Amino acid sequence: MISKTETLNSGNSILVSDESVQDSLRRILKHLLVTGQVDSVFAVRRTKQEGRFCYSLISDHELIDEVLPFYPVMPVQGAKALSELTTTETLHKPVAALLRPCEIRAFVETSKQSQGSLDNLFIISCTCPGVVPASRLLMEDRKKVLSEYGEYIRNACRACTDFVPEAHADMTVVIASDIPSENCRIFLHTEKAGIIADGLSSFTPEAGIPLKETVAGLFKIRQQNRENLLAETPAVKDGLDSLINLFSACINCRGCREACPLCHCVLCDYETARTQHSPELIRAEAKRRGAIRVPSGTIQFQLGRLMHISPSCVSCGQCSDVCPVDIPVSDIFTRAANLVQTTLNYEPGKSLDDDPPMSTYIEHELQDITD
Amino acid sequence: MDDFEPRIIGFLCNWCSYAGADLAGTSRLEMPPNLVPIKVMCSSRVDPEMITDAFLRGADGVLIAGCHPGDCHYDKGNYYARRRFAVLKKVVESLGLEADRLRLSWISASEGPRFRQVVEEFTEKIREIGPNPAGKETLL
Ligand code: SF4
Ligand code: SF4
Ligand code: SF4
Ligand code: FES
Repeated sequence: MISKTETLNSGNSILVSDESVQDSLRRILKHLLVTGQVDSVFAVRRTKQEGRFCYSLISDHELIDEVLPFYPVMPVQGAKALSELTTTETLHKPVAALLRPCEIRAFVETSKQSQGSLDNLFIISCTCPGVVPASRLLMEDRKKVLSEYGEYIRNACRACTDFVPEAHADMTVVIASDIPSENCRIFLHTEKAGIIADGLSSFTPEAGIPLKETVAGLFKIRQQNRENLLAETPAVKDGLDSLINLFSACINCRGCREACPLCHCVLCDYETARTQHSPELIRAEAKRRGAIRVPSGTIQFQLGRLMHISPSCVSCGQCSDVCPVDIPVSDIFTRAANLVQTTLNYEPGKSLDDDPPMSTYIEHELQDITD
Repeated sequence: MDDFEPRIIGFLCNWCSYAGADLAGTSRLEMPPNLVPIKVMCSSRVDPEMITDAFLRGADGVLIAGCHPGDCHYDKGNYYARRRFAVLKKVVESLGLEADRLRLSWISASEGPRFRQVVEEFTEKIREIGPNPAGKETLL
């Protein structure tokens, strides 16, 4: 029998178990806690109330049975929650975190902006089939939503082509796949993962095919969906008119900002006197235009958020999820991010080493937009 | 529209473009009166928020003018300004808004004639595009 570390060296090592993904992952997490290899686990967990869930930091191995590994919902963006745990100080002891690819990317971005740290994190990710909006899982027939969940997956996920973790994951559990299987299959990416795998008795190591090859078909579908999303975002059909129509529904709750893992300013620019219009100005604008919406600045706020976030937006869909009036915020951001990130030649969440895009420049760049 | 006179906001860097504008003035170069100059200490002082605010309040065009790359008084300010401008342009473009209403030009203190040329060209461009519809909207 080949050893687990050996298969790791082959590059495509996987662990296989007959158990379900849920049972396999709980088994691994328990093992990690009991053997002291990690101090706690960060994952979505069910709460006492039937059908409710939340992210938790779990230190008691007895509670691992409450973990819902890759339950198809994102209660909050994982990067946002992890940022709370790692901004003022880094983790002192290892923590195993179950994160979706876009949560990893968002966390890498926030860490680059000194709003978190990956130190001591052991990341278990998945090939991600997407999630459904939390509100639908909570408000509608849960069994139906879960059993037909492909129907409920949010727009951002349907159009997500980064659903396989590129870097920073130690292990990847196969969930979305072209090759359905009853087994739980886990790819090992790092030495740490190999060492942990060697201590797991109920898994057998195998040399698998490259991870990306297992999702090539799904990737094509997602790519087509993404192209459609980029071409059809409702906000762009008629330019200003569409923009105004869309945001005429905005109730100014700023939920999109609170939910976004990259909007982390303690005091948002758009809450300060600097950006707020004075009563005098609002009166003058009302006179000049005939009328003016109050509170003012809804679109101004959204343009500002686009300016600040589009270079790093990871298209996670969380802002659309929380919008109480169903404005397709994340579609709008994804479209802007696509143009901005191509122009700046920047891929958010890819590497911790390159500078955040707005803190750097290249001397002879962007000459076609200036004169 | 025949009687359309573009209103253009110009954020001019104190160390170069503002001086360039001054030189154009003292050299008595004739140019369109459509640009309202606002002096800033560096092109990087222009928060994109100032531009979107001007745009939503009905400015027909916004010009940012700063020192040529390599000549910024604060060394690198204009390189950062250029990145922010790129983001703004692309965001505006992604929303299907008229990105041509925004311009970033490098004009040094000695380039009075170039200042005139930029103002002339930009005013003409804006005249072609027409009035900014955002100036009449009641819901922004
Ligand atoms: S955006 Fe992509 S990675 Fe994130 S939950 Fe959806 S499919 Fe998964
Ligand atoms: S979440 Fe929706 S309603 Fe609330 S501020 Fe954002 S766009 Fe407006
Ligand atoms: S703007 Fe929306 S889609 Fe982009 S990172 Fe923030 S929450 Fe996610
Ligand atoms: S000082 Fe003129 S652009 Fe910076």
